[in-house]
Amino acid sequence: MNTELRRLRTALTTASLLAAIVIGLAGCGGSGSSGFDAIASEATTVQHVIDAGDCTDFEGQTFCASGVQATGMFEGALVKIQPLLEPLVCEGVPISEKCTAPLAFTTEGFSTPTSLLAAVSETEAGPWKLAAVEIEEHADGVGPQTVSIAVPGRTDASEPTPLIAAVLVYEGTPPDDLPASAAQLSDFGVDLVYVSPRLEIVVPR
Amino acid sequence: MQRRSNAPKGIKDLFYETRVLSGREFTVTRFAKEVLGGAVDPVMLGYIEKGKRFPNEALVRRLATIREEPVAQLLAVLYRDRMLYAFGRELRRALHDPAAVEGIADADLAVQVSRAIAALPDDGAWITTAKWRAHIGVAVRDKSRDKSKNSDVARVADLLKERGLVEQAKGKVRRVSRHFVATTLEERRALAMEFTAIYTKALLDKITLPERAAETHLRNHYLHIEREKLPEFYKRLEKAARSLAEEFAADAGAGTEFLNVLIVGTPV
Repeated sequence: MNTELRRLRTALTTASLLAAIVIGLAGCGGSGSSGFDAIASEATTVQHVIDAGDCTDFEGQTFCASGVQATGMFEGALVKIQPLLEPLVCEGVPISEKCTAPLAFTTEGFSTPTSLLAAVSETEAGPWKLAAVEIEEHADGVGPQTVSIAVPGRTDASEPTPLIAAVLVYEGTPPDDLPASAAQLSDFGVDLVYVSPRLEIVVPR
Repeated sequence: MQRRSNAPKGIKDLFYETRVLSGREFTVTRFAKEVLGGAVDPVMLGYIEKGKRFPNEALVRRLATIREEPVAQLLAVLYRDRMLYAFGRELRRALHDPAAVEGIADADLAVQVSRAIAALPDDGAWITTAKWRAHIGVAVRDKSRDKSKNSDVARVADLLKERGLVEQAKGKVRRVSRHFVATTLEERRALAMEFTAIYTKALLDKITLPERAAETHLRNHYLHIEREKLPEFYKRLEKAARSLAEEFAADAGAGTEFLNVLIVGTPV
């Protein structure tokens, strides 16, 4: 029995060491949390705005659904993103990996000069990529104007790709050192954000 | 024998691993007879390993001797499991969920989810899916070695993907969010059981295991607060906890523990 126990002890020790080694090899630092309700975050704010169709403040920034009058420093102004019943169609050169789809929006009621940029993401949680915009300039810099976002897509996508577009409104000019992509919209240092409904982009075959 | 944290292990796991990891290919019958000295019927030992029955304290003492571990530590695991069982029984009534499976394994899903999230870097860096799944596999301790899409590992991976917590592409995976919200009845029950298991272990460590007391922090802070300030208080508490977790999060290894910080604030 003593020999048996010694073998058992040795085997258990070896097994523990092996388990520790496996955990060590597989590991990589991280943390997380779980709960019965969602923590307020930019992603949940974007999600709420899309679903509820209102304006909500989160950590000093205002997020609004398309067509809803803004609150705060841009009170009374609004951005209306072109409503779509069909998926956006990505138009591109057949030999290219990338294509773009136009998505128009209009702005109304901004009483001070503003700058507009656009960012797109597949989900509310980001990451967000800046997209090219083409603006039909209004003579005095105020009043309704039409803007077109060149929404990027991939020509090799075999299924419709989900898409959320965000119009970034800056009072005056945007910061000089904006990143091309960011984990959150707040990383673009924006004053007001308008988000589109959940869209899809398809590549014609 | 020094062991790593036994937080996710139940008394059933301790019996199972002692038999299986011995390397002697003990059957339940042989282990009951040759190692436990016939102190338990083999059928009963099978039930104990499956979590369908609890061992008596004498049997746990014998197991502690075999494992060369302090008896009090293994008894604390037994007491915690009994408390969890009692809690789970009442929880099913509270949730109007009589169909739920009886037993303390209810917390497994929540434990697996937390391990899977913590296995991904906080900064959103990509790691290989194989490495991530191997890490989940270690946490899940999937005894069936099931590699199919129905395995526990695949179930956890799919759940996190479905909830938008992880993103996968070209054999790699990264986190896009860090907070798992229990929504279905099964998830709510699992999370409730996990929270109770964490609290019960902490409480038992503090009051019954002096040698373990130092590694557990258990404290009650109390104050009068204006009712309308409660949301702001909770928001800042959450922010502080998250900031600390991200600052101290390290690569899992032989010198680390999987620390759970359970925060409760409630007016009484």
